[in-house]
Amino acid sequence: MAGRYDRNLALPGFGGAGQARLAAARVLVVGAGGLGSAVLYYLAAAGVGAIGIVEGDTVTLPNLQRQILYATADLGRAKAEAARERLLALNPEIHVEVAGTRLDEKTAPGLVAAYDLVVDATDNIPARLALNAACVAAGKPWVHGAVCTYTGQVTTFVPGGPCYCCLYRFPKPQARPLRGVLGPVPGAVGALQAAEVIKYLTGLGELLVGRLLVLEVLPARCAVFTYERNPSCPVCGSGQQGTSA
Amino acid sequence: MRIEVHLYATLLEYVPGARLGAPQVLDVPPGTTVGDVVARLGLPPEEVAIVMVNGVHRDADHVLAEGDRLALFPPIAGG
Repeated sequence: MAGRYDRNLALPGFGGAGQARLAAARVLVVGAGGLGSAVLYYLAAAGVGAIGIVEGDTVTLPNLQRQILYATADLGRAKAEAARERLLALNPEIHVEVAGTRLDEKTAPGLVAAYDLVVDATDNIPARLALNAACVAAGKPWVHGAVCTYTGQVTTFVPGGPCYCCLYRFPKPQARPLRGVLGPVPGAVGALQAAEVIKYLTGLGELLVGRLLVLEVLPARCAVFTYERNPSCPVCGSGQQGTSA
Repeated sequence: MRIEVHLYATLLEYVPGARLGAPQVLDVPPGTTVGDVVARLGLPPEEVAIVMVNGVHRDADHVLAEGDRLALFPPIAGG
């Protein structure tokens, strides 16, 4: 019988060395909603050795339209626990660690410390600002994903490259955020985030560093937009607090 | 002078006929700023979260030049 990772091992450039890198990796996924469902499933299936989940919510009925980690029987359960159970049912060879909390300025440094790489599957800008600050300070790479209605975006931040605040200089939440989101949009964006994680861990391909991939499903179009490090960025550049510009 | 304006996500809805990957080509007078273009297209300034000119961050008062590629993004935050 072919093994669990047979199709990974058969990939050009992947091989046993690539699989061993996944098995040795520790990846933190912040948020286990629409994006997190896809990211977590694919990372668990691929054999990422240790996966951390940060999620403080419980499963509600409107979640089930897109958050494919959960079933109707999970209504009312803590998402982090339900997600852990589902991932271990898929792949009992991995470790799943859960933090039933929200990531904010206070918790972020401690949450990211024990991981090689972080995936942003949150649903708000303040959490992303806290994640960015913690990852820049700790020198951790992270993969950003976000969705709205029929559109989504993905980009990857690595130490020395542009950071979230180089991309969004003064990020503020939308004045009138739209609640609607088509289920396959976070699915597709989350799958792309998982691919970025696997590429980072195995060294395969070119990461979306300094490139923002934008997906629009209604016109069925995709665009990749390049951006640069902001030398005076208040988080990663000379505009940092406590450093002389 | 001519500039290209690339709109993303919900900003496309403010400009009739705008599509992702199909930039608006505008004829603008010398001295035109990013903010002038945002106003001319009828975009709410508070919905423009990212302003990039030729791939580099700029502010609303940045003066555009012939052939510039202006990209405008709203804040996308859902998960």
